[in-house]
Amino acid sequence: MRRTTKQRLTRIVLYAVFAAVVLGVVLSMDWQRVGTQFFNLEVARKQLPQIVTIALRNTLLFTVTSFAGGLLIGTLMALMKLSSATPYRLFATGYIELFRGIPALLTIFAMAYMLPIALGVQVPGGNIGAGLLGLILVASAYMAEVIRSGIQAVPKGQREAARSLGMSQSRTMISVVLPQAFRIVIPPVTNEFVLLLKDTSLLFIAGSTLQTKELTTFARDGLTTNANATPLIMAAMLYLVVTIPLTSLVARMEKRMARAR
Amino acid sequence: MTSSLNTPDPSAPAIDIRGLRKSFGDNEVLKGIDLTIARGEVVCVIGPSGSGKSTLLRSVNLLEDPSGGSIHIEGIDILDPDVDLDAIRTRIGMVFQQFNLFPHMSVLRNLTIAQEKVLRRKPAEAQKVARDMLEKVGLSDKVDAHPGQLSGGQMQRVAIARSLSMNPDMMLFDEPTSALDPELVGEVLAVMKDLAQSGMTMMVVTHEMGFAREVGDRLIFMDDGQIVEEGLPREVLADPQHQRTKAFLSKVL
Repeated sequence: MRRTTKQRLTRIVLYAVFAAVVLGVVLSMDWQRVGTQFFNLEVARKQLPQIVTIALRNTLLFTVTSFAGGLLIGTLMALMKLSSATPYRLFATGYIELFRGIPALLTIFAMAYMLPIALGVQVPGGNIGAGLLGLILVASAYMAEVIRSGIQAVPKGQREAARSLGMSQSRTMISVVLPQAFRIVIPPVTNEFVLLLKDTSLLFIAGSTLQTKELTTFARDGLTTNANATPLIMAAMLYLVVTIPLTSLVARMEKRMARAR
Repeated sequence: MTSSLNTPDPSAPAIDIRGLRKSFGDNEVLKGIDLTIARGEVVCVIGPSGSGKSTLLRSVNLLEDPSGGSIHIEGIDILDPDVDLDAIRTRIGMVFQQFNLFPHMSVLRNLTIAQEKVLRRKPAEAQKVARDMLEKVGLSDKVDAHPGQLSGGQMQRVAIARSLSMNPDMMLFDEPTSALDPELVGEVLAVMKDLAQSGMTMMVVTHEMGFAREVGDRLIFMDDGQIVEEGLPREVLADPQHQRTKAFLSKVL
């Protein structure tokens, strides 16, 4: 057999198998049932507008809050990890290893229930506030490593030029190194934002009231009250509305940075 | 107590290096360097790669920490831990092989940031100085450009202008033309020549023998961490006394 004939045959077989599987699934499904269970307009109408005005709003609010907190503490931890003072370096290393090493769910749970009991402190915002604190701890640990790598990616000559002009170490960091480091880490940090957006679903473990429900909790409650999966589909679509533009933005930024190099 | 410590002595030489040693691990790169550079003098340093010439230059503003010896800048012992090193560095301009412009700032901001943050000049004053310096290096039209939009020669001229805008007493050049395309070397050397003729104290590590001969007051040949030979550039280049100098010059000339 000629090589091209063989390639064509392989392709035909591949297409045929794929079409057969799809056809088999489509034919064996009860479409009526799928429609009422997953795409039930009546159930969908009941979720509106709260799935957007409360659930999506909370999801975005929690994401932005934990992202901002994570970025702030993450930068601090990155600087501590690069510090020449050993205690700072050890603390940052321990912090990063701890919160990257244990499940985010456990951290959130611990912050929401253990912190108030063990230390007798009340975090503002109640359970959700405490849960958010847990999420910030986790996010900052991941972001610390990203930012540290960004700082180290700034060429040594930049620091030397700044110091030669008489800038102090901290002035050099603030005016010369950090602005360039942040530029370098925009793509991975945006990725972190997307991961964080999805991780806000873990906040359910902290317990929530009607006003503090985020998308996943809201959809799960909708699932149980209506015995219908439509709220889950709606939540999934709302997540995608936010995440897909962001991931494509990251892809575009990465392409642009690769070109600039 | 630090006032006398940090005050330049007007009668002292610009740079005075005694018995300078530097080791990287077991590798001794500088093996006891003695070098005095008078105010207004232009000293060119040549030598094979690995001879320690860049390390010597970078020791003058303590980008490299010496392992032994002493360095006095205008009479101030800069290895004294009580000395305000940042203040001394503002008086020593430094130009790098890789330019090291700040890529996230405009040309103007590259020239004003240290004036404002270190010398505490008002923005208007800093900008005026910056524009004057850019004019001096022939780049007035690039005020608002970003470093990425400039050629290598233009970047190096901006880097020189950036150092000059701090009004330094002396300038250090670390192979300023080695990263440039051959056709761009001339414009940078021309700026450096102007600077030398204006009376600036300069220490230049270079491979440009023509520049050394024409502009330099003194030529220093280094090899293996030591000063092997020094003298008037024309004489050293035409009639080297040491075997190592002869061997090096026969390869580069």
